Amino acid sequence: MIVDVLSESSADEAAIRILVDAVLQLESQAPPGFPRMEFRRGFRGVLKVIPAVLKRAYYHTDADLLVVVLDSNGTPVTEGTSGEKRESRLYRIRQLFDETWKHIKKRNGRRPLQTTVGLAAPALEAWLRCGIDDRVTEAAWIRDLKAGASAPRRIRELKQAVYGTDKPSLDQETSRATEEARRLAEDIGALERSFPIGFGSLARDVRARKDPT
Amino acid sequence: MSEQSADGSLESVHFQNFRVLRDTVLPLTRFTLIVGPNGSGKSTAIQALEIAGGGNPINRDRAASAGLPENAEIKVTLKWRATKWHAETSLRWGRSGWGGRTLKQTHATPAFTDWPATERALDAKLNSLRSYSLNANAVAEQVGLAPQMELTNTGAGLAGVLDRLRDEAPERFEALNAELARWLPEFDRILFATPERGHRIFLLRTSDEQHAIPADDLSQGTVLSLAMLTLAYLPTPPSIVCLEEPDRGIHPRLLRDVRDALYRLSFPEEYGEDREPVQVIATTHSPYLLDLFRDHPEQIVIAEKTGTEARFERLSDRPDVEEILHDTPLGEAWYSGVLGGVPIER
Repeated sequence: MIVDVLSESSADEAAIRILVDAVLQLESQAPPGFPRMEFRRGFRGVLKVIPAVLKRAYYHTDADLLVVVLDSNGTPVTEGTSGEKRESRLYRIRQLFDETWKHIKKRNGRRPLQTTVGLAAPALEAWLRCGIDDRVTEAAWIRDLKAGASAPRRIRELKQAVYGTDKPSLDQETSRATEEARRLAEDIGALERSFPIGFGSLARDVRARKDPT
Repeated sequence: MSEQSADGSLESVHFQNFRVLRDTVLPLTRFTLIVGPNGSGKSTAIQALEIAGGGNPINRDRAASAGLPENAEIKVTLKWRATKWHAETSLRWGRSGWGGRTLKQTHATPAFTDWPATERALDAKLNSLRSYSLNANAVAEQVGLAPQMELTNTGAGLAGVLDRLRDEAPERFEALNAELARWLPEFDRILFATPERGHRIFLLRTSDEQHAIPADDLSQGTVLSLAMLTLAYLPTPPSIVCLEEPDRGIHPRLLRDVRDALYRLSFPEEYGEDREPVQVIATTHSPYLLDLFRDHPEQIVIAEKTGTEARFERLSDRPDVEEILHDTPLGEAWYSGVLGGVPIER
């Protein structure tokens, strides 16, 4: 299965591929081509390149799946239909996918390309702490955010916990993120239960692509 | 050693009537990145630090802010802070010109008694300050070998510095080769040649065909990357390093590695290094480089020019910074002008 992964850094992408493979229960391949991002660009940076990445994945690769994972930072973590929905990055990326698909001309013989979005709350490092620190869950972050917690401060704490520093080099970041992702892959259900919106919905989409019914 | 104000490190520099810096304080941490438009005092601040580090002092006419009365003093005050003491190094230009550099203790805990030794250490630290504005042609130049070779302000002398590193710290030289191959996978080793007796040039060996490419045939970005990387791998780098545009000539995709190299200097303990931290003061115009410091607004200083006066402001001191950076990359926020520090509109 060919899976393209887009996230906020190449270290994040390496970890996410391991998690997606754990859901798929197979070793996915990356589509051929140049590596995309070597540095952190944040939500807006990813948002800007999504149309180009989706078009490239559809027209120029045989990718079966395009997985996009963003950090929620201080934005709402919801799939619901409340007033928060429009601020949710899940909603915004899905909208962008829908909009981009309208401009893609379907090619005969092209295998379907499924797109899916994950939202790490407040950052990918929270997923990487799952199973180590029971206090780090999606529900806990949603509660803390409503109580006025600062996302940058929490993310800095999470980085410190995962990397042992809040200034990791790209090598350190990749090495630690993939190490933790391999640990999580041993029991991927635990990550789905702890992060049911941001990771659970992604896992459901990924399984649906593997076993379409 | 705390990050915010390392023991015996520069905490700030106060400029009074020094060129465009009429009255402003440059706050410093172990690593500081100054962004701002041309003419906003970034290079002027570095020029003052060069003078503090023993560089040639400019004369009063050049040091003075435009329109400064003849009897007004020009002063640059470097504030040092350590756990047990505070001190100030002052540069002064009086009516009759350059008045010299002085150092005085401004605070000490009762337990602190060894000011003379501290004074000598601070003088040595300041004298080891180096400022770099790397130029690819200078970096690639052939060098005449001499003992204790150092990089000059433009990066000239790199071949000699690398030659010395290979001889005196071979394990570091190997680590540098490995890191170079990671930055620029098309190359796998630094080589040397002797074009004439007592002279050296460096060459880079290609990974695939094992061809040795002389420095002056390499791309500008390649030689500038190697110079940046070499600075980060020196066994005893200068105590204070000022760097004008470390991103110059380097592809944006390599900027994360450039940031890591700068952090290796400033936060050696995070990179497995067993040496004193280097206080780094860098400048940039690159929103891409700035993006990489989003998690550390305390390390960013915005230089703002209004009329004939420039001022510095630490990004983390702005009350609205979290709100502004909500979902916007730092570089983009700066480029858009919402953080200030951009050229004025005509």
